[in-house]
Amino acid sequence: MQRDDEELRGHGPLEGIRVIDMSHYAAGPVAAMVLGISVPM
Amino acid sequence: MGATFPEGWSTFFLAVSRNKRFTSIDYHTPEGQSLIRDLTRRADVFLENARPGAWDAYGLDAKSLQALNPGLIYASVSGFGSEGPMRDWLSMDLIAQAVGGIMGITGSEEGGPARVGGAIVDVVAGRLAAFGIVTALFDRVRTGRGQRVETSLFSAAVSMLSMREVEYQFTGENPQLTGTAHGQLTPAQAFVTKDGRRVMLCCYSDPLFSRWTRAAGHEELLSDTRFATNGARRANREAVVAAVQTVMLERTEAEWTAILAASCPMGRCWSSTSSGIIRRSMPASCSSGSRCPTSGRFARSGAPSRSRPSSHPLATSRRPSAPTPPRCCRSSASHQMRLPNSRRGASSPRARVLTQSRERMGQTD
Repeated sequence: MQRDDEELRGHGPLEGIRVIDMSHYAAGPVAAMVLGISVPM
Repeated sequence: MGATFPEGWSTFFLAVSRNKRFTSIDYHTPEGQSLIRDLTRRADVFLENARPGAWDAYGLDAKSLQALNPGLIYASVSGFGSEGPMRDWLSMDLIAQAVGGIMGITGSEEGGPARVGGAIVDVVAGRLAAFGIVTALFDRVRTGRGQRVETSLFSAAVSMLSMREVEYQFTGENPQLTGTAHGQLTPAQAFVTKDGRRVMLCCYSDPLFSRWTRAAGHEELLSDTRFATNGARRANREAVVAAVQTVMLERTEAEWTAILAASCPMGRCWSSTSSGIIRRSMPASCSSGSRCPTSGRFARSGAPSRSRPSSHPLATSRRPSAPTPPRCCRSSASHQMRLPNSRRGASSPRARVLTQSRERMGQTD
């Protein structure tokens, strides 16, 4: 699956932070998503 | 993962898989466990949402992994937390909504408790976990140490009701099931418009109710003592709701939106899919697109919060102490809050906080 164009461009505050997401449905993946889309304006 | 699988794709997976990379590891095997440990040595965060203690058997618990990487943030999202009598209970969003009390204040007297349509607890718990992770990362910058971060669906649900909890302690009133209506504010509920659409109207203060009557062309309602204050309107709720509903039937939803939306909180009750129409008319930051290999391009909501570095040069400032909440004042009074000067740490009056409470409570000046 391709990632969002917007997100590929992003260099957010958490860039470089490595998260091992061992979670599954549903709150855990949401947490990882929130960390993943910390994009700048 | 999820409940809907068009063309073999989990729609939940498509919704939450953003800026992630994927691999398959069988953590039941020693090889898989070893691989996870190797990854953990180079990671900043380990995130899991298994039942408390489930990773102990595989040597992938917080203590074991932080021994390999002392800077690791080990984050857990469980059903009911790692302590307490419900520690081992299984949970899901709808269980947390029930046990956490959300369903108890949602629904109507006729239909009984209702679940909030969206997986609100899952989303809030996920965001709380992310917030805990970020604060732990911030602390690690100062201390170099990792942390154990923990939240649960139950605590997330309960946290959403904190205002109701405090309210109950002071009033002893149990929240009632009021459908679309707000329990304490009147009018604040759904009304039907001339074209048969439902709109939420929320006059959360007396000035707003006055504003609504002026916009609606029915200022005569203000001369009725039953409508004068929110307290009076609550006491005469049935008459108020009937009068407001009669007025709301005079215009279409579009007409009400045109004259009210910028002056009095209101909004049409959209379905989750039709709200996409609104989203498409909002700034580009509110939505983003992605592509599924089999189904093509699809839209998702954008980042709900964004950041932008300050354009001002760095300056040293004293850290302000935690402010004491201002006491509630009478509606005509004001409370001056002194904020620290960011350069010298001196105090100067820079903000005036107006509150509108009928009761004086809390501490004195």
